[in-house]
Amino acid sequence: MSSVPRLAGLLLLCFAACTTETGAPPAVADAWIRAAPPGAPMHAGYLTVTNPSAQPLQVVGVSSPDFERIELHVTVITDGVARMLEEDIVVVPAGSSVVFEPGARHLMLFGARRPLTLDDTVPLTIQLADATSLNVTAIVRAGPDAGAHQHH
Amino acid sequence: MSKLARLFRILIVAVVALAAGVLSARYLSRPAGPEHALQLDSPRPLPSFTLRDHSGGVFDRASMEGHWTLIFFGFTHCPDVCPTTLHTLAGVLGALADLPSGSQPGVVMVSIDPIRDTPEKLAAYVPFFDPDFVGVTGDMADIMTLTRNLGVAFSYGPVDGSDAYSVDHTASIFLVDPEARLAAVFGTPHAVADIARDYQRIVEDAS
Repeated sequence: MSSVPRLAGLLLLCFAACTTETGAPPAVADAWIRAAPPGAPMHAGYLTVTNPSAQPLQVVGVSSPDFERIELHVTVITDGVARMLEEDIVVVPAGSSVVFEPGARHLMLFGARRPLTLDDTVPLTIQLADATSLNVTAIVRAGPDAGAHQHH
Repeated sequence: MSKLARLFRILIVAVVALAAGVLSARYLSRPAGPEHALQLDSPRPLPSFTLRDHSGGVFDRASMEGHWTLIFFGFTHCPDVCPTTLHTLAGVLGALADLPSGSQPGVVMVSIDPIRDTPEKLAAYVPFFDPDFVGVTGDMADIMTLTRNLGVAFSYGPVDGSDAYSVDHTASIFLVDPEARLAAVFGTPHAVADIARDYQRIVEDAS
């Protein structure tokens, strides 16, 4: 048996897989909320939104049953002065991702409806401009480097 | 050329060579300076001020004498930058845990939002990040004595009647020496390893 048809088959398979890849749905990962002192009026949340599709993605809001209200914010540091700006829309370009991380883009979560302690999980729903949404579970952590903590 | 003139010339060359040798030896043996922090050529004394710590005690210039202090400005309604800085400084203390206790820094957050940040609010907030951290608040006039001296800027966002207004503020961390003098400034971004290394170099250089 010749190996040529087999190779062609493999190539076709790969091509099919790659096509599926570019059409993959957007995803949210690495979601965490910084542990805050009990009674803190607000929390900050961080995550990564990935958009493998060929169209830009627009994040227009975030909600959670555990918080009264969530806003999209970005910390901008100009001449050493940290300023917080609210964003109505965060655009994730086609084939790209947007990272929410400390000292930069973040979720501002107002009014926790229950006390949140380390390793607690918080469901988040990310609303997109096309009226669809993405769900992710955020973990309460002391900091970005505290990921190992959850394996205890 | 006379014998005396030649002798004189040899003497000059010898003196210059000796001076160059001594200077370069001093330069080479000098400890490496900080890489990220801005170190003042000569530490600058802090002004007089009287504030309150989160236990209600007096916090003034004398509170910073006898030990090194890392001090920064923030507020408890700050979700991103201030908790990030407090978490980073907790990491710095961890990285400096092997230093003799006399060389370890105190950590102080001074509120630039004293209307909302009472000592009680700070007591519930600042020590959460490390039990040894101190929150400081007080009269705006005294806070501004300190911020003006350190070149700290802050301004309030729109206050729309709710409790959710934001305060823009300088995010630098200031290093105060055991004589209550400003020794160095750590600009943003703040990384645990950079701050810990530069802190050690500055403290060693001063001892």
